[in-house]
Amino acid sequence: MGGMIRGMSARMKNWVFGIWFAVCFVCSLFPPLYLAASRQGPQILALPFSVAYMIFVGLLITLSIVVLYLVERTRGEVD
Amino acid sequence: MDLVITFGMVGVFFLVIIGVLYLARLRDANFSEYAVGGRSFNGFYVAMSFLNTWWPGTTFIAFAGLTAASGVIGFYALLYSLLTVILMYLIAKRVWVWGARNDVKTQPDLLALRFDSKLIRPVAAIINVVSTFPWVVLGMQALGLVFRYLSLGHLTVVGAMLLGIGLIGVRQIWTIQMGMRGVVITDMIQGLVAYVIGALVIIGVLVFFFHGFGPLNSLSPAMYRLPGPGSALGPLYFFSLVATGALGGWSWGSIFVRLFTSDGVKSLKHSAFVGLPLSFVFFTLLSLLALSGASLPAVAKAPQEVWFIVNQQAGGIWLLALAGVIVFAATMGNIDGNIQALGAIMANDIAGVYVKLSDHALSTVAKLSMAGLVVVSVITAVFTFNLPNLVSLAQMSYQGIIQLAVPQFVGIFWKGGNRYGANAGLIVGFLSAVILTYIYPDLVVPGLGGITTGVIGLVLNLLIYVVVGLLVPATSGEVSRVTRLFQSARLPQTVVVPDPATGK
Repeated sequence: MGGMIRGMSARMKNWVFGIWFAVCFVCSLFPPLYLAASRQGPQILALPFSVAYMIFVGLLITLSIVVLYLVERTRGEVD
Repeated sequence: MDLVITFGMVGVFFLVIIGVLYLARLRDANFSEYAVGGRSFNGFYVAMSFLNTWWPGTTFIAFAGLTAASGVIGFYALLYSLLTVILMYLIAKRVWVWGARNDVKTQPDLLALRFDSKLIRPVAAIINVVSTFPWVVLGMQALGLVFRYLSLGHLTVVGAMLLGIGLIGVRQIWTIQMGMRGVVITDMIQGLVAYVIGALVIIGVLVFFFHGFGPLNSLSPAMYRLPGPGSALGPLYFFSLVATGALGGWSWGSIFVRLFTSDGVKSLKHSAFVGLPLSFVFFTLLSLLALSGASLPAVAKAPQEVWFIVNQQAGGIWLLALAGVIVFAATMGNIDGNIQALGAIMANDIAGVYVKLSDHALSTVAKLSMAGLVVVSVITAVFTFNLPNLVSLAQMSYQGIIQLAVPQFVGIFWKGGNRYGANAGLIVGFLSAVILTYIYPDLVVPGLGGITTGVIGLVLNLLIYVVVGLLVPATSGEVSRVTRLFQSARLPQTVVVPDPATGK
């Protein structure tokens, strides 16, 4: 895994995380998406659908930075 | 006995914080030390310091209350609080390197460096002071609610507020004396109590008191809907809240200055790595607790008191006391951070722009500014306690502060802007946001689907910035200066902070 991350080109890394960040912003800010999720059912893991959607998007955003940091650390690019 | 437990726990926590400040007492050698703690903190300290300024005590009151009263819309704060850290991660390297290479101490200082403009420092400073002041007052007043609860009805509203304000006022003696270093050190302890212990308490309440997410099923379906087409607020209302929050996050001078307290880009990125999961876990749990609490009749009557009601019902006097300590810890960090940042900004970017001040004089002006702010905030908090419009003023202030996002973010990523567009955009954006908010105090501009006043100001601000940037040609000297500035962020991070005495 570490070898694959170190072998990935900078351009590829930028694309992967650029798209990931874009998805985070779209899920949070694009009205048709958040309005489609704005309902009680069906339940996801015992949570109302809209609450589960918010938590999912939150987790997606959190993981984007956590994974980017780990990738940059592996590649020696953190500073 | 109950009062001994509630006030005793707050008292012990307060003494621990003061004790830590005495143990860590260090004399700041110069204004840079005083304003940014000598750029010496690792990622853990920066993360906790950010969280303690970002999630104030009112998070447990106003934000939890919003979720308890209105449901899922309260999660907007979760999304913007996380998105804003992505923006931080992207600007981290450039901001830190520019800051360290040029001994930048405040957000207006950085804008002045980017645009080579003297005017932008007082403009950005005034926007910061005007916008942040209501939050300091609100934070002090929030303590009134904390102490009213902890007094178990023995204190009047005014009495509780005076006690809270008195305590936080006394705490500021050490904020003024120790500057940023004192703020960051205590943020670590306050942050652990407020967000780590706070999260553990919430997990306990969700598991042992609510027995899982069952109570969520008893709420009305309306609690799970966001404002959509045909609603009073409009389908773009949620977009506006999240967008302004995400962009505005780093526009607050008290938040932005955290970038300069770290000992390097690595620590700054590490702070995002640590802080983001903490933020996510803490606020998600708090929102779930508030939603579950909405099923209780007492919370339905007073949603803003959900945090205290749930904890008291779940764990009696001991848990209520701990809940009070948690809110107290969060409030202290926020007020300290705001007072310290505003004092440094007033000295560095208002007084220091027009009069040449020595390092010692800058520190003295900052301390006097902080003392003045504390006094004015205490007086305002006492005399406006029963005025409902202060919350509106705080919302208005958010519409204003986000105007700084244009020169800040666009200026950091695009070489094309100039000082004329940045200053004109800031002034027009800020004034239009204030005027529109005065006309539409609920922040929603009619006929625009839920777009808020600050977003209109932001669009005008951006248009002016871009158009003026394209129309007014930069001199060759300016092009070369900006190019050098941008290139400097790509160089290896072997930074030597200039000695204030010699400037070298």
